[in-house]
Amino acid sequence: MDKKTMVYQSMMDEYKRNNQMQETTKEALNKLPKGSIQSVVRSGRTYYYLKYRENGKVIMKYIGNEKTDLQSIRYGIERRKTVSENLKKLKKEEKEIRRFLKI
Amino acid sequence: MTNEQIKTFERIIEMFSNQGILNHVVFIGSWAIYAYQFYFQDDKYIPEFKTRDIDILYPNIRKPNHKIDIKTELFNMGFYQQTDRLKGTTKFFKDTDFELEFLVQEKGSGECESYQIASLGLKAEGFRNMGILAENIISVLLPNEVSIQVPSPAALVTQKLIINHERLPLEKRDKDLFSVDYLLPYIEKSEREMQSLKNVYANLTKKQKAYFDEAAKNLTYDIRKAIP
Repeated sequence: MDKKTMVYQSMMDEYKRNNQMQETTKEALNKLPKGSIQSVVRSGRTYYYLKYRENGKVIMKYIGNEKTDLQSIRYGIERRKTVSENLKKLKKEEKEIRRFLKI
Repeated sequence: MTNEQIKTFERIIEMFSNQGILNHVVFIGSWAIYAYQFYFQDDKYIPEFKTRDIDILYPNIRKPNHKIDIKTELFNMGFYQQTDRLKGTTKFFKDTDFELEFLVQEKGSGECESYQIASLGLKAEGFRNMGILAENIISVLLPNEVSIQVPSPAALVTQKLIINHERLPLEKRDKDLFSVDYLLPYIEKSEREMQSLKNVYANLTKKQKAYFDEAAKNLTYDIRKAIP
């Protein structure tokens, strides 16, 4: 492929842009809680845990009881879904660009 | 984008400057995003791919009050014009590299198909939600020492989010959201732009805010950082 063409140069820029965006997206993803909220009732009281997998193990991390405001964690979990979806789209786009650039 | 494209773009703005219309137009779309690299002054910033379209917003169709033969000037630069038979609007093409179009803000009931820009002697297409872009302008000095007017990055992302639901084909919605996601961290670094984003959002109508909020849910950037 002729590396001097307008399309090649533009696609190279797009490739770099895509990589930058993937980095930003991964950073955002690392800051968000993963898993789902599980409630456990013991002695008539409700306790909440964040359940997720890490290195093949299921982790139950205590996050609070019925008095705890879980809104921000719920928001974080929802955001994680969106951000993960965006990362998938970026990876798909990267594949297409790489195929075009033959790199 | 290639140096060739940039050179042609610079020649266009130099011609606009010589003809006295540069201060009456606002460059929107991908060339505004190109100009932001000189505004943010961040080496990491890479303008996005789509650069064929030169979209020029004409905020006040009554200005300037003298005639300018823009058609001949563009023809001399290698552009040929094409008029839409139904709407009467004019577009200018240069080979396969450029498509230049004047756009205006649609007002009122929006039944008007095209708007006459008297001084340029051509008709432009009207679009809704252009007011946000026209009312929040910044001036950016390009490397050829000519300043152009572009919407503030805060205004551009706001407008992109508001119109996201109506973008077709659907792929354009994702593309626009990626574009917004790319710009927002740079906006965050600028106190002025963050304040601008808050102000632009505060002045939106209830309906516009609803569209903005809905589209923002699909961003990687957490918009609550800017608009709590």
